[in-house]
Amino acid sequence: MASEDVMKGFHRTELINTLWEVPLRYEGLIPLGSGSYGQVCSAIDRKYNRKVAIKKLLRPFQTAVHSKRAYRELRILKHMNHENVIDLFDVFSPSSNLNGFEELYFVFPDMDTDLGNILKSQKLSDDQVHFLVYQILRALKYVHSAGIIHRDLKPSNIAVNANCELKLLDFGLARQTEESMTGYVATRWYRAPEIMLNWMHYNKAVDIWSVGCIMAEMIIGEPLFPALRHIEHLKMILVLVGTPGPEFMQKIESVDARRYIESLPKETKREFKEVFPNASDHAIDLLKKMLTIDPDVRISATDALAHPYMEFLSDPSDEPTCELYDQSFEDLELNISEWKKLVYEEVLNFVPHEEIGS
Amino acid sequence: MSGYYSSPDRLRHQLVTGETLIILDCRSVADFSVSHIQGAINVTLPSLMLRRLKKGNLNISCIIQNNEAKEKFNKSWKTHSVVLYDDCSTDTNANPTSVIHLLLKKLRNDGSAASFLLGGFSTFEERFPEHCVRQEDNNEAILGLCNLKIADDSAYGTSDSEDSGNAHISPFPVEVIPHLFLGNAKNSADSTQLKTYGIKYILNVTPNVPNMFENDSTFRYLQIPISDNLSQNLSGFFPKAIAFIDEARENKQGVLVHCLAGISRSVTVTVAYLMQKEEMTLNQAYDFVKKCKPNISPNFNFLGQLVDFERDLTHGENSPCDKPDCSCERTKSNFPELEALQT
Repeated sequence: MASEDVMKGFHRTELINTLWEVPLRYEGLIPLGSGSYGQVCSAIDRKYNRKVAIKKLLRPFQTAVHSKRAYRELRILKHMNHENVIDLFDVFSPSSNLNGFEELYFVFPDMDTDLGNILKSQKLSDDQVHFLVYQILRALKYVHSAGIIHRDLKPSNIAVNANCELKLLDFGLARQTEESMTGYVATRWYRAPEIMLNWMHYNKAVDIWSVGCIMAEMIIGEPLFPALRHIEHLKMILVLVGTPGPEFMQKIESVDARRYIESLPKETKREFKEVFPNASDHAIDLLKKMLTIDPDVRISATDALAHPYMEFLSDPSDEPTCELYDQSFEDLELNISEWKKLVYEEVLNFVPHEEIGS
Repeated sequence: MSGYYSSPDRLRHQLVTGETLIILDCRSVADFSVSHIQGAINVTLPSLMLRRLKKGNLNISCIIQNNEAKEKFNKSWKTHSVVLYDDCSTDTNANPTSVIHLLLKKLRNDGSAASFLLGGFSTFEERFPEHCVRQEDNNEAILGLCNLKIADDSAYGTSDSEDSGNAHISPFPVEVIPHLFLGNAKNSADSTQLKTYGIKYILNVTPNVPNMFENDSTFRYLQIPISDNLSQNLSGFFPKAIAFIDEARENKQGVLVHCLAGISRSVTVTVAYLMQKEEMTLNQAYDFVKKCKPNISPNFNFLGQLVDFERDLTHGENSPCDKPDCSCERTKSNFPELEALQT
């Protein structure tokens, strides 16, 4: 706690044992929940008279890793400007100089719910599935064209409003293309096998696998691979798509992991028509192409948009791409204060998308 | 276009006589859920959908997302009256980019006798409130999405944190077989727990968790300094680890095998011990440990090494399979518990 004085133009509220210090334009804060990276409140943005969600990062500069993550999230959010990707309305900190810079808040549009909640509580119609999958792929075409991999797509990371309009969230975990995958990341059910098997080089195809899992879940009304542990998970994947052929096996870098898969009983690919009896032929074909175990063969977002399943929704002239995102900072090994300085600069030069060019 | 309208009186007449007709509410979902004309279907369109519709790619029925309502719509939109209404328009041409204008145009182009309600919902509700459904008596959700509330784990910042098995994690070391305990870093630093369970031997399968009581001569330590990732050779340490565990058990002393979380590295060592000393197959040993401690999850690399270890045991001199009457099935290395998932 730096000082007792509230920053000029800010006001202070205590919510669930946390002090929130936000610009005066944000009123009526109501806590919505919290996750590992921070807490979220809904609020009214008086400047535009709209509902917003404010996320307060939890100790963003605790370690160099945390600081880099905060920097990454901010950079990605600032870079992206797309109908189906969460829009960063505002970013602020209640400090007037770098010395007192300890807290970081992001402001997003308020979305009604997320796909995870929807899937828990209702069966989606074919058209809803269609439109939602279309929007996810449309977002991914954009995100991938920038060289960004979401890496952790899952229903709870996909915001949906009552109008069935969808936005991808939570790019905090997203990493650059070449970085190796280390340790554990969040919910495993939607994770591509190459991430589970810890290949050193995974690519944007991991997101497509996740879309396949999510689309399947929308169709059958329950998670496709609800495995508690990764062993069960791999097993369930193999039961659905069959034991991979030798060509794929050679691509797995860990000899031991490869041997383990070989020690499992051989599975033959299941008929998708039996697994998804109510899905249309086009839907099944697209699912197959997304749930392809070999990421080199798996369909891309752009190709998926051109798939017959998307025929009536797709319009290549209205599926924008994005300029390449400069992620050279990923190779930097900086200390906390150096990262903090970079974040601070990004906060200072932030311009909301709605004010750019207007 | 302004000619294609219905008066509130005409609509009321149609409602009273029970004529088949389709009423499309073009207002926001929120307005619709507060109140709407009886039998109306809400068609708030996402702007993306509106653009596709404008371009003419989309089938008109896409405007209705709900399956039941869609069926009704598909059945009768060409043959029966379709009435659209917004808040209070008296002329839809006044705003050519409005949803109602676009839909009316599209419907009429596609051959429907569609019209818009003169004066919109507000005029109609004022005159015929008995034909309007207000929230309290409206249980049906036409567009189900509108009924959703944000649950506790809100849309933002909720990366469902690893590891899913938190609920199963025991705060205490788990005794797998007499004197052999499996645990995590926290257990290894808790002198009360160590005392309670009579643990005098501590096998630390991490490079970085400190040996907390190293200077206390009542404890014996063995450290296997490896990380939980795919490049580590753990099996090379099996003989040393097994000997250490054996020594403790022969002295009737408790031995704690721990890593950081007690789910991967320490589990691998424990499974290896059971395979060699208790003459279990990999399957049996894995199952056995899992029964005691449900949250185990050794990484694939270690599992591959256990498959090899099993093979070595089977062919090695000390293998119980050398016995002529041995009936163990060491060649199968799939996990029985996983078979259940195959259905």
